[in-house]
Amino acid sequence: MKQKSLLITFFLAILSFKSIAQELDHKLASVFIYNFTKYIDWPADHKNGDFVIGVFGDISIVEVFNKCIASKKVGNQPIAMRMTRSMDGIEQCNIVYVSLSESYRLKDILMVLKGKPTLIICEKMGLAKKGASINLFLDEDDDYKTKFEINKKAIEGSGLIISTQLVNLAERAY
Amino acid sequence: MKSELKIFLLAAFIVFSCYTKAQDNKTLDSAAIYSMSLEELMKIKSSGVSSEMEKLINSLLNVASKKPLSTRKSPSIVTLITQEEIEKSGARDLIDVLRLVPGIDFGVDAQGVVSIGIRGNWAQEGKVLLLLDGQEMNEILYSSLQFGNHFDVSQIKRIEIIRGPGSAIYGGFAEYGVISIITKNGEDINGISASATYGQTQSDLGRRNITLSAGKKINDFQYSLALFTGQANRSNQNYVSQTGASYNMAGNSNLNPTNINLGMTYKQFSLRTIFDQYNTTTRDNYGDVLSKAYPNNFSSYFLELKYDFKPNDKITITPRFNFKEQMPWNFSGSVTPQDAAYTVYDKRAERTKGNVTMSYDVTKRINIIAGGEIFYDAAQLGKDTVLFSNGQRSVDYWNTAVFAQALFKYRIANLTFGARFDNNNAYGSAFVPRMGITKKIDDFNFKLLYSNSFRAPGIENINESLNSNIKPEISRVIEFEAGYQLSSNTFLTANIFDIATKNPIVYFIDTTIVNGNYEGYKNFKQLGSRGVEVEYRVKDKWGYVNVNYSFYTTQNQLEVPYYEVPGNSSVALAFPNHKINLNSSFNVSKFLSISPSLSWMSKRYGYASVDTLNNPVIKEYSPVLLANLFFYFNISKSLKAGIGCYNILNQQYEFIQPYNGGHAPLPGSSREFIIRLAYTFNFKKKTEQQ
Repeated sequence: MKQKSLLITFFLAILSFKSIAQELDHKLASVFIYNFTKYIDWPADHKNGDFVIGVFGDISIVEVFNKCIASKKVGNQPIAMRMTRSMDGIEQCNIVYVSLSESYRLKDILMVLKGKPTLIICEKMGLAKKGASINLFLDEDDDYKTKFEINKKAIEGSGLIISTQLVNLAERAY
Repeated sequence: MKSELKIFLLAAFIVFSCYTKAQDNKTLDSAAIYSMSLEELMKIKSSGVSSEMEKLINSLLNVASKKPLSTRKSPSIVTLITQEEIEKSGARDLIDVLRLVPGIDFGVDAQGVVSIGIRGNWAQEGKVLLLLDGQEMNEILYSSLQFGNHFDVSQIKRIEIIRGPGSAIYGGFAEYGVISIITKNGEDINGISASATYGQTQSDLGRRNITLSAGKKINDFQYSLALFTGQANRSNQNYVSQTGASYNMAGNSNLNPTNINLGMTYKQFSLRTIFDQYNTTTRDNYGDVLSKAYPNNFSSYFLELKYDFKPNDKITITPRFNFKEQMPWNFSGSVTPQDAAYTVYDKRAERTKGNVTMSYDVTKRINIIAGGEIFYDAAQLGKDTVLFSNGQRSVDYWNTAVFAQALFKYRIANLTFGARFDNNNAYGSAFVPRMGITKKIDDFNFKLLYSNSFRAPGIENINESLNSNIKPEISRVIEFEAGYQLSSNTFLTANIFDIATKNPIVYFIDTTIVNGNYEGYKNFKQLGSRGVEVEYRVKDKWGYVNVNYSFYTTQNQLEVPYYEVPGNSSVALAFPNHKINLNSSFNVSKFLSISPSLSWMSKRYGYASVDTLNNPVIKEYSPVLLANLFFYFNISKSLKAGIGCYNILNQQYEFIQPYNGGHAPLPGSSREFIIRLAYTFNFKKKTEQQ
């Protein structure tokens, strides 16, 4: 009986441990984002000035993105990172990146950006199906490599032109 | 005993509590990734994501579906044992390795041979398939396996285990489980290596084994060659037969293996050939004690040729040819008159098999595997004079099989549907479908599995069957598993299982049949078990701790008198209802790791003696705790050493016979001190030469 009590205590203690979710590597994600720009064509009025990437998420993500790709250019446009907390001005962005913790805001973001030539990139499984342009995820069946799914209809509906090559590279396309 | 168990559990708990560290974020090679294409980026594993534990539980396994899937998504209850765990534990042989797996245990068969049980079921004859580099180690006369200083553990790269049915993929030897051993390939060895193990029991030699291996990968060509040979005593204790006769097992229970394993691959072509000679001696012969030790030898030769034909990226067609020749349970010498009961057994059996398997990735999410197999079994007498049941000196059978599996990797869940149909010209047909649903939701994962599986009667099961009538036994197994990743370095799984086997093939002795003694094989009504297995794993840079608990009951499942414990319907002979294992290793420094392991078993039952009317008398064996400790020294890249002790507490452990077959429990060894030394002369890799 004492042994049983000991075992129950043992497993209850174990169950109290905090769970740590696996997260996308944002350094790698930034390189993916930069690569996506090579396969997508923005309308002429979005090809002037800075190439703006708005980030809904933690400051640390913006810092990683800044460090990794802010010195790059998309065509002739220098990349400018912008941390975003509200919907104000997000239609000026070429790309809006929605981090995992801000995924709940996708519905509102989609409403604001409806028909606007802004690429919406998320990092929560299933959001491409819910209207995001591209969703980055870790493939558990492939040693946690980073993959992406695409919503081709949503991208084309926003006035962007997407290369079929990118669609073919996606793990899933809707 | 109970206080010792508590000490171990508390120690383990303290370790868990102390070492739930945050994951260690590595950095990507910054310069390289910016010039990569998307295709290249998708081949990179995200840095900082996988902890040591995540690497383990997300390792891709082939054994459960023949399609690489992580342990959490494999459509079976699986266990993965790594090279690191085997090396650091100081395991002497496969018994030491497998005993720490939930639900696996060992018992004695006959003539000193020890074999495996799983989830409370005796699985010696054709119920657990043992694959060594894809070769079926089960001998084909009785379909049996032999454990104890038999297989070389120093060359093992990984062991993938299905703790449940595998027949829908692997056929008639995989009714209750599959153990797939994968040894180091040429690239892993990359040099010439030698290792030696010496074990000393309290009174006698425990074992002395040596392994020599060589291997290298040269462009598209790769080879590995390993030679293993040794000598051991099963035990140094006294064996006492049911009638009270006894002898000391030191020098009378030899386990002397010789194994040569050659593997070669060139592009898509591969060749594997294995020679396995397992020479044992025995003085126990069913109920008797012999006046001296006699040989009981097992020799096998295996050959496999395989080619992976890939007409495009989506399709792989693999034609495979296998041949094996075996002489198991072999004794062809002469005996003294008082040992006349130990008779010659000298039969040669061979299996020639052709198999074609196609794997088709219909989409990224759908995979179909389908194929066919045909094999020809033949056996012939050597010095044995008892003819086969067909009245001839030889016998042969044909078996044909078709199989298919569909794997759907949908976001809602992974679905696996499979089935195999076998038809044998001796015992008829068997059809075994299976279905698996696996689902991962964040840190949780679930598996719901339904499988039918079967045991094919072996050549001698057919030959020694009552009225030449034997059918395959069929099992229905239902399993449910839930897993939860508690933190980046801890993982908990629990499963329940229900096994029901109809028409089990059982060896029986019935003096009321056919005017006198009759013994042999026939189908009984049913057997099976149900139970729970829980496993908790912690793994990080400091080492690892695995704790598991397994429980089974045979209540309302077991209706084979030969396996039953009189007066107790919930337990089977030989196997404990409850079992707890601890397998751990702590990296004290880069140079030293300390690995304690233990196995606690609740009370067991066996027939140890007979009454005045010569009826066997059941005996209850007290719970036993086997505790082991091994120090592993990583002296340099080339030189590894280890020293340790098995059965530190010097517990009296017996391999009990899981059926009422007249064999008294066979004592295991006393405390055994182990020393191991391994040296590798590494070849320079091409990149190092440049």
